Amino acid sequence: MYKLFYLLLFSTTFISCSNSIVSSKNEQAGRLQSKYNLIVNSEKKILLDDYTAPKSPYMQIYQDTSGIKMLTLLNPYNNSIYFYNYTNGEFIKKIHYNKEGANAVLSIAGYYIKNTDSIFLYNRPLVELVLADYKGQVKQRFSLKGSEPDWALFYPQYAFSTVCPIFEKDNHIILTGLCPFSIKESSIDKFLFTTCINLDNNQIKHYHSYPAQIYGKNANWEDPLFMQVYPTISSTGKIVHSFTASHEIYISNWNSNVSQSLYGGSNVARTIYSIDWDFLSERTPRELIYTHYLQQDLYSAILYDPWRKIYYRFMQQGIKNATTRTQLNEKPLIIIFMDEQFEYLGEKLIGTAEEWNWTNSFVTEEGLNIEYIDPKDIEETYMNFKIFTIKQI
Amino acid sequence: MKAKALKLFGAAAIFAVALVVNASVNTENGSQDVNLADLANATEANAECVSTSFNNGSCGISNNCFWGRGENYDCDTTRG
Repeated sequence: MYKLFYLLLFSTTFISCSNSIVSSKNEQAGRLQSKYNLIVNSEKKILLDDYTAPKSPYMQIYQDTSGIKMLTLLNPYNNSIYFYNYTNGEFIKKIHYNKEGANAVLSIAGYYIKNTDSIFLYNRPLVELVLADYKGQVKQRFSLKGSEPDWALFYPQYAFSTVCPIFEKDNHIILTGLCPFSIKESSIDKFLFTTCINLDNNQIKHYHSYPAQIYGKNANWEDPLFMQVYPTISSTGKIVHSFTASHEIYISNWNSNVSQSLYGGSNVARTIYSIDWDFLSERTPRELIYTHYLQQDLYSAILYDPWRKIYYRFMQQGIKNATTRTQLNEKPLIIIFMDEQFEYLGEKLIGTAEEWNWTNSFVTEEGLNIEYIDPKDIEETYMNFKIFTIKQI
Repeated sequence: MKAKALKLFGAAAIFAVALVVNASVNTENGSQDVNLADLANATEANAECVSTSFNNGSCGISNNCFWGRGENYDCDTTRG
């Protein structure tokens, strides 16, 4: 009888402790002093055609050989890239890619315009990068997935956006990917999320692992929204990574797995916790993932402004009492700004993702451009941007 | 007698720790008005995950389908 009692007792204790919750404490919470404020300096309107909606899934600022600064955007409905004059908002041209035939690109979900003869397109359904030109002709295809059935355990997948762009460094195409589910402790140092394609010899190599102290220990971060990684290039050519659950930023060479971490957090961010569920034993309930995502303070994009030599880091503040009825875009959006050495300059709460489509943010000489959802523009005639700059308090 | 009392005390202490751990876990992630139908409605406006007979992926909470790790497939990565 006693044996049965002890067995039951120890089983209960073991089950209770089998899932480890990882916490990421904000050591600087409440101690940071704002020296600068973020203000709207100007606005920009881009007139859209009848086939294009605001909130494009991907954009790139591109300057051609004639020196015209262009705002390019993806129209996923007609598989086209639209080019606008960034300065005056005028439409210039569009490039359409076929969904069938030898030059097929099934569904573009990101791109990098090197020049009009070399446009790299991410073909999401096939997990491949396609090299095409401005006529829609495909020149080359790079498969980004493994041949093994369980390749997703070892190679990154991709969720590109304007704030997680495809870019070029030292004649390599750099693709910042993610692991869309929690990583087992045994794989935390082996899973590399950046894919680099050498344009000289087409060789593909992988670099950069998730911070083990946060994403290791079998911690449950069971959704791509927790696992997304955001890159930017520093003034010295290093890659700076922003991870959603880390108050720190991570600096490394594009072709190295060694990184240096520095504090880069918000004054109001609280401790970030992983989900309290053992993902190795049982599938994490979707409603638990959903409410946990809403309740946590989570970082996102990081953008470097070479004109002002500052970094902007975005954070989506947690909604303490969020439920499954709460919408994802209700999280308040905070922008933290730091100098070149990642010294804190200030932060500002600008609203929610209902009014700010923050995934369409980019930096120009004018400042930090963020897509603004104008509630008065019911017809979706324009794509609107507000341009922010910092001002000393 | 003393040894038995110690055993029982130890057992009671372990049981108490287990209860506290469970209680704190329940407090942190207590069920909050969970309604799966509402969850589906909340996200269907931007629905991108498509389920077919060739499901090979998992659908994230923002309705993007990614290749799964070998269990619980609920969407087709070639469709959404």
